[in-house]
Amino acid sequence: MKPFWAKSLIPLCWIAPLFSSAVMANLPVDDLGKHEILPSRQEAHIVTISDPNIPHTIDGRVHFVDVDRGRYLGALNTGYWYGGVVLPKTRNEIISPETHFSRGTHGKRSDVVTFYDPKTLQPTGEVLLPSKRATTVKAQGVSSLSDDEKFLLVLNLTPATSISVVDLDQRRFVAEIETPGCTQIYAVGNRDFNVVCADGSFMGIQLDDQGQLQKQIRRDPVFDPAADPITAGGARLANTWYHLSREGYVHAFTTRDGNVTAAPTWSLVSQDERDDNWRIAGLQHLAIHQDSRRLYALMIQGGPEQFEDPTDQVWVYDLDSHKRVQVIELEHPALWMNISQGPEAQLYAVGVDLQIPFLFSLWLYFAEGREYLTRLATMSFDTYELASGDLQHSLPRIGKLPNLIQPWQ
Amino acid sequence: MLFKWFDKLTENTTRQSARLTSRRSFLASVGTVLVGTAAYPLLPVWRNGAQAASQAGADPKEVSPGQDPGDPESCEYWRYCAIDGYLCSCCGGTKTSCPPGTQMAPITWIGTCRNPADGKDYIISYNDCCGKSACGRCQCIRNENDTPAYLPANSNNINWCSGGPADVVYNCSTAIILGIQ
Repeated sequence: MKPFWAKSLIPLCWIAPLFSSAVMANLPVDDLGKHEILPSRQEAHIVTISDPNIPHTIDGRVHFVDVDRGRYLGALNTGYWYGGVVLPKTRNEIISPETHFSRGTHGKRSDVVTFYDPKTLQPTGEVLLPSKRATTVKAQGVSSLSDDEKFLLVLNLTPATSISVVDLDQRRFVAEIETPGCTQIYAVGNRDFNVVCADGSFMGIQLDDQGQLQKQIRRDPVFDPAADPITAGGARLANTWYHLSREGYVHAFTTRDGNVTAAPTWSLVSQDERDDNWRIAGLQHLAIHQDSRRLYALMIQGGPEQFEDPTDQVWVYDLDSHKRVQVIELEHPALWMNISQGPEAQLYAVGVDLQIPFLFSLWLYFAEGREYLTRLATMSFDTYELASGDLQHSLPRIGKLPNLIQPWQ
Repeated sequence: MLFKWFDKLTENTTRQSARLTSRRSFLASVGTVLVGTAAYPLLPVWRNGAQAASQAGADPKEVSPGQDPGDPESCEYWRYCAIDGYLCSCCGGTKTSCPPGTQMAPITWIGTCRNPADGKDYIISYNDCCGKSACGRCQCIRNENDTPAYLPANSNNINWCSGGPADVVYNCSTAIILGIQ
């Protein structure tokens, strides 16, 4: 015989669904075929993460993130061994130097500059380039806009070096300029560019209004690449480009009236810190906040071969006093770091994230080995408030091994 | 370089114990491994015989394990002192030959590595194998004496498959003895 309470529940079970269906309306039928579009730069702060997608390098990508909301917005597919997207300030388009093969990894090679709609991320056109685009690990200095954004320069490396010039208004390849012994490109005006050379000098490239070479200027060396080479990454303040050297010195090169002058170098580390093996780190390790004149550098304590290792330390310096004014500890050890500009600036970093508890990961290392653990590692994209260094968002699983963080401002 | 920190930990617990307490240090070591997948080495040293060596498909000379000690599938193998990329030994090739279907880039960069068996410094040529997408196995980065791309002679930041017969599609890296320094 059933107890009383069980008997009472039986009718309730029959009535409950009738009652709930009366109160809760059916969900409306969804529309098919809807597509999201990206917000404009006025509506949201957008940051791009360029990603060669190693080891699946045939499928390079650009990831778009809304850093106000910490939300992944979408991606571009950008072909083989991607070298980084170009984000103009004044043009309503996304510009992407790319390499494609007609049969995936073989067949006819096509190097192109592809233009994308900034809202739909659909390609809107392309310009064919000489099939010589440089494929390098670091994406800094492999392409550059002129200051007026009329021309795009793309570095070639076969390994002979040259530069392809694209007229963006006409969407047309207009010139190839040989730059023997010189590689990374740094814009210093509407028609003027510098490329860094193996002897420690900067070659000047001056274009005419049609994008043809007007003047090529060989200059004297301004640093000693044999003793302490500067790294590929640079940060610009007006016509001065700042670079870090392998030994942790800050170089400032100013271009004026066709000449390049070097300011006295200064060290990121004290002698004690140098003795303790503090050095630069990561693959994108330098940024400058223009309003506050502060320099941000990824730093690590480690051996001389660790200058490209991930680190959780961002050291902040006053550009005028050369004093360190802040240390930001990152949530995840980062290989790439950049900042936005303006009064409410942010710091962005892509770092290593295992997504599993620390002690468990230690156990996995000893139980299963390093190869196993490496397969579990992912990249997280972290957003920090620049002034305080406080973490605002962490977006997990961003790309395989990105090579460039760029805020689109 | 692969998981260098953990490897050293097993050898010298005391020296590394401080880093063991740091989750970030641990992640950093993992990240170092991931970076190894990105950097593809080669000094611009042209070797006319590189293509032939690739097609031969095997080591030209047999030597006793004692003369050439270590595991060619391990990043710690002595010849890899300046390598940066995926080890062809793990990818269907060997330390001196390319996997099937790939072609050896004739332009390469070299390192100087000490053989622990005889104490001699050997000049090692790290010819890349090209034409199939990245192998993805046994990534190995050892950044000693690496330079920026504007100093290409020592730069492992350049894809040295560029200009080779199979174009820029990188697969893995070999470690071929050129001679004794």
